[in-house]
Amino acid sequence: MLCIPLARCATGPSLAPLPDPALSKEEKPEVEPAPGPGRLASLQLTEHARLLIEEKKPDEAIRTLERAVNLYPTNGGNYYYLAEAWLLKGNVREAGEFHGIAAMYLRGRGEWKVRLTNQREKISKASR
Amino acid sequence: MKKNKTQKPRPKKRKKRPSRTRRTLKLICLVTVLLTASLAGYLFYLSTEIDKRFSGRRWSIPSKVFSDTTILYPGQEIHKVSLEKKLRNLGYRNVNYKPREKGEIRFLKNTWELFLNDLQVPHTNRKGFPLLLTFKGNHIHSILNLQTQKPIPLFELEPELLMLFFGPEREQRRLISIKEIPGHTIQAVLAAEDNRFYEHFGMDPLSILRALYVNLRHGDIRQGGSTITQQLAKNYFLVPERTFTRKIKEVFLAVTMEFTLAKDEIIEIYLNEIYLGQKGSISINGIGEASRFYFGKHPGRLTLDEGAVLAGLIRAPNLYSPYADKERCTLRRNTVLKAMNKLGWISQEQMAKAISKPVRPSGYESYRKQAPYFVDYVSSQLSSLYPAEALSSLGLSIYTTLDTEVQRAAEAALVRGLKRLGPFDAGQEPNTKPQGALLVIQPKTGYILAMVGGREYGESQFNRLTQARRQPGSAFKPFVFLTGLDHFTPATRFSNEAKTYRIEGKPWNPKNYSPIPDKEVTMRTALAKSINLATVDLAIKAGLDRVVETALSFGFSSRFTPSPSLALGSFEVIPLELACAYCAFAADGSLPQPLSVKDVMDEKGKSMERRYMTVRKVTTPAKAFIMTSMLQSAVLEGTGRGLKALGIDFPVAGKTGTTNDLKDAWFVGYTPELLTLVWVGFDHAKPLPGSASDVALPIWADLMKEVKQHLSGGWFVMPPGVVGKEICIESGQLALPSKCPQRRREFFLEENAPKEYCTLHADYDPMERLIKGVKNLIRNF
Repeated sequence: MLCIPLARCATGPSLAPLPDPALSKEEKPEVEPAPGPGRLASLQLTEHARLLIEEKKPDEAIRTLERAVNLYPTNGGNYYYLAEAWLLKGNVREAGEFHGIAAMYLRGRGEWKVRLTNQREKISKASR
Repeated sequence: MKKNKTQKPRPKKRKKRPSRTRRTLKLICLVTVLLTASLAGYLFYLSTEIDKRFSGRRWSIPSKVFSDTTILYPGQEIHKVSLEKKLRNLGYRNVNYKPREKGEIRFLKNTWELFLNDLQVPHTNRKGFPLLLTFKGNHIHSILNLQTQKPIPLFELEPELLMLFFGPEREQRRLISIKEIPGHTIQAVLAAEDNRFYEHFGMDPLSILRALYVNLRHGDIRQGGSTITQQLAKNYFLVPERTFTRKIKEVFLAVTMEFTLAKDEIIEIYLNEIYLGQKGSISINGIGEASRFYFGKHPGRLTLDEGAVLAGLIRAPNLYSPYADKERCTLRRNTVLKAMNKLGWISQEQMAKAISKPVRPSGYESYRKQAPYFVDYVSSQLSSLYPAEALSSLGLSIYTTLDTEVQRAAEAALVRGLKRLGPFDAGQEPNTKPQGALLVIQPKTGYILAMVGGREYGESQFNRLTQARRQPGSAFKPFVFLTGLDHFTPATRFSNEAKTYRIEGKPWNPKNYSPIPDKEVTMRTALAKSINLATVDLAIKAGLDRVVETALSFGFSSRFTPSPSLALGSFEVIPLELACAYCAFAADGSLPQPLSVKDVMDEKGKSMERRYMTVRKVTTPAKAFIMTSMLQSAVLEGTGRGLKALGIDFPVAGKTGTTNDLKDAWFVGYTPELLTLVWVGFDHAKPLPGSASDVALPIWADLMKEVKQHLSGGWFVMPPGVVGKEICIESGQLALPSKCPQRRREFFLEENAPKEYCTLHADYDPMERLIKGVKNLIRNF
């Protein structure tokens, strides 16, 4: 259900544009600025989807994550949970596709490293 | 012993003939037995017919096609007018008091108070609640749940009804159980139509006598003696003709029904069956649908006076309709209320209070097929799953990805864009007018948000996005450049000199759209400025077979020939396929499956079909990012640079396409959240008045300014495998900061990034350059 009690209310100004890639000075992976309102809303959906996966409701989780992806297309967490949901549904091919995208967006994010490794192992085990 | 022949014969016992009366009696008995047997047989036949009719599907319910739901959250930029229209389409009623009931809304200057309707869509079952939306400029400032007095981070608005798959009868009906209907509404119906319903056995001699008396007194037919059961029998089983035989059949059927069904079953079927008005060409049947149509609410929330209005309609729905004559409707309602009071079903006070209320219908929008090209596309998707008869009778609910706000904005942008063509558009025959098509898709999920397949569905149902095949021209170039990224970089220089190529033995001389003086141009410039000569050079060097392979892997179903003209898009594509192929650039190299149908549910809410976003990797995220970067240059410095003047102030990547003799004009542009394809051209391949930059680009810009609720203003994140380096524009090598005169930041695939510093300017003396510069300045002065 997409009406979630507020944890942190997003009432700030709209998202500041990301730096133009053609003008980027750094060669290291770009760091995204603080999330704007759409992204905050998306994070709420991601969290909701995570709970649905815990409750073993992959269909509901995928629908919620599709919404979250649209609001925050570069949030790797959405793809990680999409992979989890597809694993729950037993579709390893889809899980693998989304894991690949998740790994790309979440690279260098320490808190995700173990989870991504575990997920990769689960996928390779399931595909055997 | 021999018989004595002379013996007087015994008189023959004379057969006694039955008397006439006896014979008649016998005949009567026989006829009676026969009649009774026939009647019993007939009644048995009727009871099996009734059983057959009522045990299966009672009504054909049209399947419904819904849009997607809408998410609103604080901080979101919105288009207030468009959102208000959406709320009205959803049936929200404007009130001038604090909303008390579901579906009511009060518009104040910077706040909207609304009582949300229930939301029942797959995976979500939310009860309606009151909330307060506050705005700051064009943004939602906050959302407060008025029930809990707590702010909420987001909420979902119900989907809009796009279309109904009607059968030939064109009936709209919403089935309800008798338990959902308020007692007073049932009583109002009984008071108006058959107050002895629970006492008679299908026909009511008392009513017939009363009707006869009234009709004789007035010398006119003022009352019918038909019971509710008879009405049901007539509606369900008989043709509407006024004959004695039909009346007899009606009575038999009614009596049989009373034996076959319980009273509550009969009244429930009746309340779902009755005709209660007309919405354009669609008939409104049953209390469930009528309650929505006249009062915009679920029948469970009908008040006494509203229930009496609906009951009063049964006699002559279009005569007593509150939409036709409010005064007549009020009088009829009051008659029903008085009858209820006379029967002792409501008190004097209840009657007086209900009579004092004005009749306030909710208002409605005539049924119109929304997003017709999209709905046709959805139908074609469903045709493999369900036959047409199933769609018009099974009452399925089909939930789609369409965003009605984006759809309406797309339709309007196309109309305005074609009008801007001036004399080219005005006063021409419908079939010779320029056409256009517009598709809005979410590149990551493949959700189709809007689909406009032509300028006017009423004139032409041919969907130019899904059924047409048109030459893409330069809009195809990105797939040539992507193929080139295997061996070259955006800094690689390609020839811009005229050459003659041979296609099937014949010479072919490609030309640039406008003169470009440079003999060589970089890959980035070639794509940004859509330079034909350099593109063909690149395609030849990358390998034409490999360009074909790339195109096929991106999902094009066209037949490609590996000839040099392929590089300039000299073949035909289906526009939807072109849009999807571009999505892969915006989605880290993953090609999404275009999605229009999300869920199909049966009448009872059971899931029949479910489709999710699915992706297929067609290129690496690194290559997709570099393509996006080059396509951003096309918008900033190349053929799409007009966007800035058209008010597009957020980062965009995109590519124009204009075919030979200006027959087609394309623009495909995207952000991380949305990808929109615009095509303009004639069905009969006449030339347009301008290039894609003049014709297609303004339509794209016009639309994107209207759908900012879908845009974050953000940009793509650089994926692994890409490096950014400062290079010398002339040599394409790493720039020597103090020596190379023209430098720029460029992106490379890690594996083919330049490693050597500029050799062209290695010996360049900055002092010499300064002196040369001063000399040039003096000379020019």
